[in-house]
Amino acid sequence: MAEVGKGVNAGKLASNVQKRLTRAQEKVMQKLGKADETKDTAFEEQVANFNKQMNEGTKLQKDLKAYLLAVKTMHECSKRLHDCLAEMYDPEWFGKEEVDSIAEDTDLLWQDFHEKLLDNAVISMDAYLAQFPDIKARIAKRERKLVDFDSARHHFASVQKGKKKDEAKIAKAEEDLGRAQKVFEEINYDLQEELPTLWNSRVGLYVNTFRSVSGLEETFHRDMGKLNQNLSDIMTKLEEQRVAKKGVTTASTGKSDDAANHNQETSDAPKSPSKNEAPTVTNGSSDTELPPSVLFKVKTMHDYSATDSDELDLKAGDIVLVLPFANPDEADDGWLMGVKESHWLQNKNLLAKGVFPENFTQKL
Amino acid sequence: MAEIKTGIFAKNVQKRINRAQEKVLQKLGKADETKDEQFEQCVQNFKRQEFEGSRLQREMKAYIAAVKGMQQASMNLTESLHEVYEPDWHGKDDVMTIGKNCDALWEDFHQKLVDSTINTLETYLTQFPDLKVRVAKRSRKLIDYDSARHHLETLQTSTMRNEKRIAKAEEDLKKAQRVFDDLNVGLQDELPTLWDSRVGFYVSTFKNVSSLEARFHREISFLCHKLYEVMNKLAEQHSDKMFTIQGAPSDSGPLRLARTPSPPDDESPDSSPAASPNHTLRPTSPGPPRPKSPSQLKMGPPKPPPPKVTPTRELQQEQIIDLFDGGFPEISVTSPQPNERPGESLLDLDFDPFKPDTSTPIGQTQSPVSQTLPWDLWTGDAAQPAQPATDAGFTANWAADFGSSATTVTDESANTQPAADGQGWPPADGWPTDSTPQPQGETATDEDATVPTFMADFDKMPEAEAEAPEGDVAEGEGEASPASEPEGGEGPVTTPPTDTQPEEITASSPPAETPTSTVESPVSAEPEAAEQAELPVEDIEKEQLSEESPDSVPVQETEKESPTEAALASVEDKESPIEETPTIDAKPEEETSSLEARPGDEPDNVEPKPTDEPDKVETQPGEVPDNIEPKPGDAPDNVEPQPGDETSKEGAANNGNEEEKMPIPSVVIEPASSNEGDDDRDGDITSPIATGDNGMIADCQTTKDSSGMPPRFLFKVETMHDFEAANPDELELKKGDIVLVVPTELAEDQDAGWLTGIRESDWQQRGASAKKGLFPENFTQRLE
Repeated sequence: MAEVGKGVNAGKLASNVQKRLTRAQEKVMQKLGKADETKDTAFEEQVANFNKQMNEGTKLQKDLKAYLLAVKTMHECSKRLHDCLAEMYDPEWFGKEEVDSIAEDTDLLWQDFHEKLLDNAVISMDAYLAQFPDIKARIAKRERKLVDFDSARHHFASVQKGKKKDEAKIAKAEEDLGRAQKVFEEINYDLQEELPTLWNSRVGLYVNTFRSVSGLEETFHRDMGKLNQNLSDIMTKLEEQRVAKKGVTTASTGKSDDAANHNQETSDAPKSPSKNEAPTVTNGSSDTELPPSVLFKVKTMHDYSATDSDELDLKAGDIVLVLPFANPDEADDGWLMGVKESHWLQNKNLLAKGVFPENFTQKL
Repeated sequence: MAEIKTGIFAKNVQKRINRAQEKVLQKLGKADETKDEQFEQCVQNFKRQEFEGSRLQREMKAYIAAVKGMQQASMNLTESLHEVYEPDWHGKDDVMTIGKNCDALWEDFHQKLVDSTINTLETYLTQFPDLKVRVAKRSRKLIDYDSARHHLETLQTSTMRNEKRIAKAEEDLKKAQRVFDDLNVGLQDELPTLWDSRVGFYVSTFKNVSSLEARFHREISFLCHKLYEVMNKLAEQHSDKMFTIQGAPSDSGPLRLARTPSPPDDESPDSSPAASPNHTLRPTSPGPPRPKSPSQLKMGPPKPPPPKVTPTRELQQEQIIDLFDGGFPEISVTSPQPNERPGESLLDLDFDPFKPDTSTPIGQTQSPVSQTLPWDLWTGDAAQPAQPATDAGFTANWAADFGSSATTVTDESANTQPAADGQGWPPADGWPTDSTPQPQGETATDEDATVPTFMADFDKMPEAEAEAPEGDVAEGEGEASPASEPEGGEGPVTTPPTDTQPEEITASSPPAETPTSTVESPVSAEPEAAEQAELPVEDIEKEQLSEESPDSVPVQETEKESPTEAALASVEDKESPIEETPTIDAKPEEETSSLEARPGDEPDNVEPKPTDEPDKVETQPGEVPDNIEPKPGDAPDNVEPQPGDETSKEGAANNGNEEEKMPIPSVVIEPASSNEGDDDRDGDITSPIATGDNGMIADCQTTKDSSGMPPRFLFKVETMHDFEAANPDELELKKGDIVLVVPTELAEDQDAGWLTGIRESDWQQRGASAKKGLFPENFTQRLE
């Protein structure tokens, strides 16, 4: 039994060694020009396309993963920044709950964006690239079979031209040639079918990948824009609250000074009275030319007649001060809230504000 | 100096020892401690504030670093897309533009974030170290003060009263107190202010960050939407490629052209101001420019206001257009090309049908004339007249046609003459060489006046199509008037025979002159018959009528045969007492001619267009009998003046022309036996005429088939917004209308965003008379 087992293994090993020797011999002869080589220019071109496609796919995957990592990092930093704000925020300040809510929404947006990017783009890219190793191996196998085929063909030719006409040898050579050709052609046929299909599928992949990425980014950025707009509005109102609060602060400071003086008087009663008083800090508020909540100015390019009561009538050339929407739900894509500059300059109020189409105006 | 330094050092050591001693005593409870709860609260707030500020700075720096990383990754992704993108794919330039804009946005966002937050934070945080030092100093001064105070108390309570020492201790106490108070007051002012300032700082920091992010995200969102759309279009292009050879360039070409016209829809308001000066600088040379075009170009097509509910895509495109303002002019330049090509091909199609149709019947008409020549007789003479006969036949056909139209429509001929003069007629130039000076003048004048008219009408056809609706109306009137006039001409023929005579002579005289030479040979055979036969003048006139009638018979329709028979009976009753028995053969022919006029009137009245074609058909066969009539008439002239014949042999052309001057007397002497000969020839000519008629009828059918769509129809569009016409040449539209678009005449109008079209419903109801007008392209959506 041991001998039988060893014999089988040895046989396989010998067979493989023989194959390698034969192929090496064929390669050398082809290089020296003594044996013609079967060439398939179209197939070589397809292989070149395949290699190019694989390189591009690999690079794209790498960039996509780097992008995903950057998104993740951005998410973490954004989260910590918002936590920092949340801790600083005093309960007495305006909009405590809104700020917390915005922080949570921002966190959810980043997380959702990251997960969807991962699902739609990276995973499909991985699936796409998984095809390449298998086909690459098959291409290599085809090349080896091609060498075998050429070797068998040359062997058959040399046997036929030999001085000694050995029919048995010729028949065997012919049989080997037929078998090698059959094997080669099977592999060749399959690859001929698959490579063009794979080459064409790259368009579909790119379309899907970038359409997913751009679609997700569009949604994500639009929502983030709204959240940040809300945060900006809250900061604006907090600033207004702060200005009103300055009076209270001044009074508090005065009391503090009085308390300090009292302590000193107590300690120095027998010897000397207190001579010091804290100076009172006075803060005056100055009027601003524009309403505090103005985002930017736009110039009207086309006349617009209001069709609803909440819309703003515009004439070409009007300057409009764009305001944030009081309620985010009211904001429609393509519409802005604003008040005419002329009205504000005259009346100093926002009573005449209304919505108008953004594409009728141009940002200044 | 060394001693001084040593002194200072010793003094510091002493101070530290004293403070340490005081601290120990306070801890042991043996010395009371001055406390300021208020101040300690301020210090507490200060420390918290410093901590929070430092943390914020750290987080903000990390955030900005993350933004930088995000920017880099986004740039790499864009670059990767740009590399894999192949030139023949849709939107190559768009992808590049989007990528660059995206990078610019990220860079701008990052830079502004750094400027507005990091710098502010650093400025804010530099306040803290200084204040911290001052707080520490105040603590030390407080201890000195307490120490001095306790020292004084000790001296005062001791048993040995040393007034001098007490005074010194008192002095030290006052000094320490003053120093402490100075520091204390300063800090008590500054700390609360600093504490309150944190609110303003936080507000400005986060306000800047959030507003920057809001704008950044909004702009990036538009770019992503744009990229999304490009990918969608690439997918459409890709779906086509699935079924075609990968490397076929022709497949991708048309796809690009098909998509190119759509962007100018949004671009139109921007381009209208530019188009206006172009129109002013370059007036249209082919035709008179419209008086109202400049106002239209200045106004430009009004933008439809976006409805509140669903303006998403339309509005976003506006935003994108602002971003890609530089990209669209290229697209605008490209868009006119596809419109021009179909226009040219349509024009070619319009012209081709006319040429073969007009030439075929004339050729057919000529050949039978040549065939009927008696080749057996006068072989030598026949050879010479054969060529002029062919030319004469061709010219005669034209002359007869326009002769009648010139006679009946004076106004039209007056209008036509200027055009005729401008055009020129090559055959007329060649004709004078064959005739003497005197007849040359007459012939040239008649031919120039009549023949060129047809050419003018032919040229008017394309012009009419190109003109505005007013032109169409004018053309319609022009076509209608000649149709009705010939009918009037035929009317008198039917009722009073006497009145008809002068018109017949007038109409037939011009063609009679030209074919005189052709008639010479048949005339020689009939002189004996002419002499033998004797007919009254009235009978001869009636025979002329009968000769005309068989020519028009083929035009008759089958459905109208029964009324013909009824009319035959009535006509027989009227004419029986007048005519003699030998003239019975003439009766049915006359009756036939009277019936032809009536059925001809009906189709003319019902449909103006079909009338034009039948009129031409009827007129041309009428020319043929005119050619035949002069032949028997000339015979007696040849016989009587034998010396005239001899003269003609010497100079055949000249003699022939002279004979042309006497058409009237020859008609009177026409023999009876010649009728049989005429009948035979009429029979021969009838079949080819019928063939010609069939050709013409086929043309009518072809014309009707093409009326399914307007000439040079391009494509259909659906109206998306109501459009109220502001000028007479504009087309009023209601939402939902389907419009058939035809080429716009002025390039400026098309560039400004206007299209020319006809409403589908209007076209189906009124055909060619439907109103054609301008309308703004951006109010409609193209249908495929």
